Amino acid sequence: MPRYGWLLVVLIVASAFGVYQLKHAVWRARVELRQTEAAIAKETWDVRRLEADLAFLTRPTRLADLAGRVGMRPATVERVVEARQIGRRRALELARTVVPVELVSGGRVELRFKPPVTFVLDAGEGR
Amino acid sequence: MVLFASRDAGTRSLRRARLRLRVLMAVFVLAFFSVGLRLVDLTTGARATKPQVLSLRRGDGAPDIGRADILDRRGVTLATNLRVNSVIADPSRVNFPERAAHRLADALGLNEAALLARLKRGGRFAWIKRRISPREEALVKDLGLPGVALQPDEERVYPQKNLVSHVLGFTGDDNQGLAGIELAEQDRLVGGEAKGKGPLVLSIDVAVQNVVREATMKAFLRFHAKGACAIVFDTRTRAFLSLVSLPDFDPNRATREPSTNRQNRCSGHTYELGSLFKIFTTAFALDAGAASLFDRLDASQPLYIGRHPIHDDHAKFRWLTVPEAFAFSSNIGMVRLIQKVDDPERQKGFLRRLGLFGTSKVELPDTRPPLLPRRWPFITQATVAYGHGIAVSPVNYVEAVASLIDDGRFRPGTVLRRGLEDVPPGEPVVAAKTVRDMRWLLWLTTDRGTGDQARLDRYLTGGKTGTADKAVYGRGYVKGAVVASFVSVLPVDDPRYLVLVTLDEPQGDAATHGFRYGGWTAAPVAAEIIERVGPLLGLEPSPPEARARMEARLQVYPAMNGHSHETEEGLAAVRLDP
Repeated sequence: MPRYGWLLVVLIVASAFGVYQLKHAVWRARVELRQTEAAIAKETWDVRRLEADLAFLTRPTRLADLAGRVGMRPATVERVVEARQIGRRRALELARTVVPVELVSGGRVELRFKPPVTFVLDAGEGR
Repeated sequence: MVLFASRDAGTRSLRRARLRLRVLMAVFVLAFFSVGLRLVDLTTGARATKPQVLSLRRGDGAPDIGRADILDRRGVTLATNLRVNSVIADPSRVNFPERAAHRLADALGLNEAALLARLKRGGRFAWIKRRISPREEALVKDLGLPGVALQPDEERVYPQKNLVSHVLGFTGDDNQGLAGIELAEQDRLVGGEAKGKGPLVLSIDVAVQNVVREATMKAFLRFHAKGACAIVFDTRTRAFLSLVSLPDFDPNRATREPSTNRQNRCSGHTYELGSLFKIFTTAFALDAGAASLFDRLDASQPLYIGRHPIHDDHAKFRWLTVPEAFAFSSNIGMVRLIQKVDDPERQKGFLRRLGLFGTSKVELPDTRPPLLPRRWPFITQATVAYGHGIAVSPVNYVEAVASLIDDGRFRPGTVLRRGLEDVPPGEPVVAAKTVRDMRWLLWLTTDRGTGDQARLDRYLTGGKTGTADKAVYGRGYVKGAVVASFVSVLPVDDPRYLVLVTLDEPQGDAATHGFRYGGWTAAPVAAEIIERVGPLLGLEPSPPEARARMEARLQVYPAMNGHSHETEEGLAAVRLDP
């Protein structure tokens, strides 16, 4: 037996163990891969089903029918208003109002009203 | 000496052999060492936590979908494949076929005798029922019959039901396209998503389609029409935003619907469209320079070509200007116009350039070619001038009209989504001045002519009415049967959309005073569509100046009885206007 024979034996045994480990890891990975792929496939089909459900439930024919039942009407060009027709003039006038206030300390400040964020639709006001 | 010499040689050989062995050993040690290192790296290193084997596979683990989805232009699902189960059997393993057939027929609602025959036929495979419901699946599982199993399958589902039926078409049992875009784009759809092409996106907009279908359905039912077609066409991209054919069908159960419902009346039927063709005649005469808007045409009495009399439905019994002849839909006026050219080849060439001599190239498989006259004597030129003797599909017609009111160039339409950058350059048909004149004439017709029922206050629209006697193959013109139509342009000063409504054999009612004219039956439908679709498409109401500009042209053109401004100053002003 050559002088380095023992080293060869150790390496061969280590290699065999390594190959076994690797093979086992690959097998585990394959199983995991198959499970993951199956889960992805199931999720994909579920997502497709949910998308189809969504498209079915939100189809315009159905929404128009439901909207009609709660008294809504189709939007037509007659219901389109220009920005200047939106009734925010009163809110803006209030925002421009300055209210002088005398403080206890004797100082004087001017209070202003913050304009509301939401506007009230009043088509007639802006005309 | 010889002995010493041979001993020396032997020692040298031994040394050389040992050296070789050591080198070989070193190589092996190095090789095993590197293999060992690699093994340690693979099993315990960072790569071990991220298996490399995954990258050898397709990648995302997504299932193979047998057929790509179809979406509308906003991404709404129009057609999709869902996973379902089918029931199959291995007849050789079914122990008691009679009992199995009885139980399966009961659970799945099948014919017991036919099922028994299938199970007794032998072999290793038989379909019991394709694409069963979850409830049926549970029943089959409960039965637990040996030799009967569930097999994963796919089902094509159309969530919008009837809404887009004629464009989509439908598929057969094996997921193959049988009609509509499902058939036309079969190669693209099969394995499309698996090949990474993604879903097929159409130009159809379901919100627009719903409005169009609703408005058309009302008229279809009210006027007891045999059929109807309504189209909304984007004049810039030349794409169909809506294409409704009535009666329609539910593609989820297409094979159980009457075959007449499956016929696409927008692409698969041809109609003589009557006065709608006057758009082409007028544009032809104006573009050829044979007539101008100032010309007057004798419509004071019926016109005879040989023994054939030509009448006007809205007769004025006087000379008409060209705008009057167009807006009052004068047949006599159109014949007078075509007389000014009197060249059948030029007339044919013009219609050919508008795509009216060939089948539309729209991606629908059942598109019908036009029915053309075999010969073109003057009587044919005359009848074609007011839309008789030539039958085209509504799809063909819309493509042609878009060319005359957009930029004067013909481009084929599409039902697939495309942006402005994908629009082909097209072939020139008419000059820009003809386009401007045609827009004005269409506005005039809606504002003061036969199309006034489609006049809207907030959108500046133009349009043309059409009422044609209906010709039926083998019977000629059927007495009392008409095809009533209306084509509308929105907004007419800068067209974005075309709306065409065609009613097949409508019956007038009390509200229309019994009239079946396109102006009474189809024009109000087009008006309703425009009123509701305009805001959906983001179209702002037309500014008052746009109407004023149209009306200003009235001041200089001699037009319209009761509204005419036939002054010499006016005419002079027009002549000076470039």
